[in-house]
Amino acid sequence: MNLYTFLQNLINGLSLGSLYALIAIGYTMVYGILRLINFAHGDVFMMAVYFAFFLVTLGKVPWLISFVIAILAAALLGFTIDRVAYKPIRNAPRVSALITAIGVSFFLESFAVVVFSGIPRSFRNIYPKFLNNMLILGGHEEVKYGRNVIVGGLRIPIVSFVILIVTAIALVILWWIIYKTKIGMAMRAVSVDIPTTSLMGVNVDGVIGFTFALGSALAAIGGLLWATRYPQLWPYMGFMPGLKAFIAAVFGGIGSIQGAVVGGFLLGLTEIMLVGFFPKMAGYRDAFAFLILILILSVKPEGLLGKRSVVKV
Amino acid sequence: MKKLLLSVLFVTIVFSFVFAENGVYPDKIVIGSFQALSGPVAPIGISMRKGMDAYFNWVNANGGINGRKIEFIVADDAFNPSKTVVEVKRLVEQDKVFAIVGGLGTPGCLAVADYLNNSSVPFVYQGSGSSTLAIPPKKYVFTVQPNYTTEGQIMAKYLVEVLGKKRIGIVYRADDAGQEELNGLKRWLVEHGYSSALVAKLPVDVTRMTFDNEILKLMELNVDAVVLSMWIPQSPNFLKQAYEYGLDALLLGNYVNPDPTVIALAGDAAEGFQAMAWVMGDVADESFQKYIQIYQETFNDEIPNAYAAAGFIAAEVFTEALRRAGEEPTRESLVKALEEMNGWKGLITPSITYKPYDPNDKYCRVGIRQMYVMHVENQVWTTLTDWISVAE
Repeated sequence: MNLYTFLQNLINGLSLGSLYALIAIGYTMVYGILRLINFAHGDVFMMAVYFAFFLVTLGKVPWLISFVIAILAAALLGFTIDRVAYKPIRNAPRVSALITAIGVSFFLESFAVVVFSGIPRSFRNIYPKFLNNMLILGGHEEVKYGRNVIVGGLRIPIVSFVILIVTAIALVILWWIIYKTKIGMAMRAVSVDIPTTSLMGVNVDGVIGFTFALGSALAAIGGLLWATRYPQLWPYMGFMPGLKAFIAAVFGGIGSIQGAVVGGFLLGLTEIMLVGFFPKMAGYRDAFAFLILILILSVKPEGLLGKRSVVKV
Repeated sequence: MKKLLLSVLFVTIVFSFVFAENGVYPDKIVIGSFQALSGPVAPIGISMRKGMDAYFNWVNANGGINGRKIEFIVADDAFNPSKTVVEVKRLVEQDKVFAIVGGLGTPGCLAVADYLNNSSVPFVYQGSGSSTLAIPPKKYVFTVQPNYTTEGQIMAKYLVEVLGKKRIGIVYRADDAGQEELNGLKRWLVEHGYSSALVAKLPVDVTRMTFDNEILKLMELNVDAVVLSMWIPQSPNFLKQAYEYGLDALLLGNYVNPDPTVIALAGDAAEGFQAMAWVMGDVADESFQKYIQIYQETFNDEIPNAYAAAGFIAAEVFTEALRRAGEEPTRESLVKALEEMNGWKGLITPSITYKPYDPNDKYCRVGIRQMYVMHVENQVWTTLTDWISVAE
């Protein structure tokens, strides 16, 4: 592997990793507070893309405004999911909530199949075309098959930069919300001890609802960036990215936001680099991601940055 | 006299109950199918069912076959082979269907092929390209779609002999179908002394949508043609990314690809994309127009997609065999009628041939062994070559 290919893989890995990170944060925030793996998270990602798609195609709303509305709608969807599906069983055993989460996921997927139809749709004409243009650095022109083409060099889709920049901005805003605002303080408090926080006059359900909304908004941002890079939408598009983000969250230490970000980037980079170095292993890319999950769970279940939780018996 | 008449009538009724074939009634014939009508594969299953529904509706509206209407029961197996087994047993043992027509999916078809064969229930058309359904042959299992081995061989022949390509790469789904296509491609190249022409074999997960690695690798290896053994929505994604990276090679997809969805999803990146095809589909043909008309009699103003065409063909082949199976069709006479098909063509079914059952004849249950190439020109799929077949 030469330097160009290495750098190329590095950039592709970072861009994929930041998408995983954005989705992983939603998983980890909900887990931090409720100890619940919200399996419907990947489907919120999918719904957000459909919202934006229909706003642009049917509603004729400009794309940027549609994206913002879609993010808000996804936040509302996340909030509603919590109110309808999880709040009524807040005090039930954790496995009930987990099964409910899987149920919500199936519901959203099947709902999308019935309402939006299962046929994949194109997201191509939704956003400005220049986003998918390639920036070519280096390389040299050669005549191949009677045509001038650029051989070698670094090819970076513009959208990869956009993904990195948007992720950075989203993370700064998230950091500000969690560490500089009152609701952020409440979120941190709830994640430590729900009964005590509630006794101190904090509206715990409100905080949980806000957490769902915030996580879903980040998933929506991830989904819209994903659809800009890989411009198709269909009802099961959230399934794999959702699972991968879950692995990223566990990798980094579930419950820890920094961990989710680190886990997301590491998973994205490992996936791309693995195939970059060993192209024959490409068929095992997903298997490799799950292998990481198994290894982490058996060797260091608290993840890279997670806190070890000790249960006294 | 009256007594005699009555007893004759009685005996006839008893005999007709004893000897009547399963699923064959005086006014109708009941047949079954299994399709993914729910779950991730539902868009394919629903489309395929629509193709069959449209054809059978048209047959029934025109008086049925030899005075009998076709009653068509579709079971939903959600593309889950364990459900397929349950559903198909129910169709055979409870609904007493005459035959199974057009089941969808390699896993499901393989799960029930032996059961149907052992129960002597004809199984006509599998929505699967797996060669194991037909080779070795099973008396009651009739494949229609070309299998991936045949397709891989034809692709190799086309790329090397017709186009003179020297550096071929293949990107294939890491499943049985992809593996089979790779083997078919490799087999032809090795047998014809071109084994060095295959320079890249890149498997991809069936859910993968990102192909940066593969495309970069193909560019590094300087390939001049790439075989894409994958389906929608993967293939249009590959096309788009290859276009952005500037992969300068001919892209040749398998026969699932010549569908307007690919163009809708990939846009400019689909321009010049070539794909194998086996359904007769020239829009200018009278028979093709008839097909659209029949389809639209049931589904107003809808343009059938490639999967609906597959369902339509399944229904066409079965109906033709049933028509030839006589006034009182039996499963045996249906099998015989199918075996006698020699170069029969339907409205969109290409030339199809079966031979009498012979366990040693590898191809007696392989209906179609030739394909042609289509390409995207000005955002429309157009026919590029004549039929291509490979010698065995």
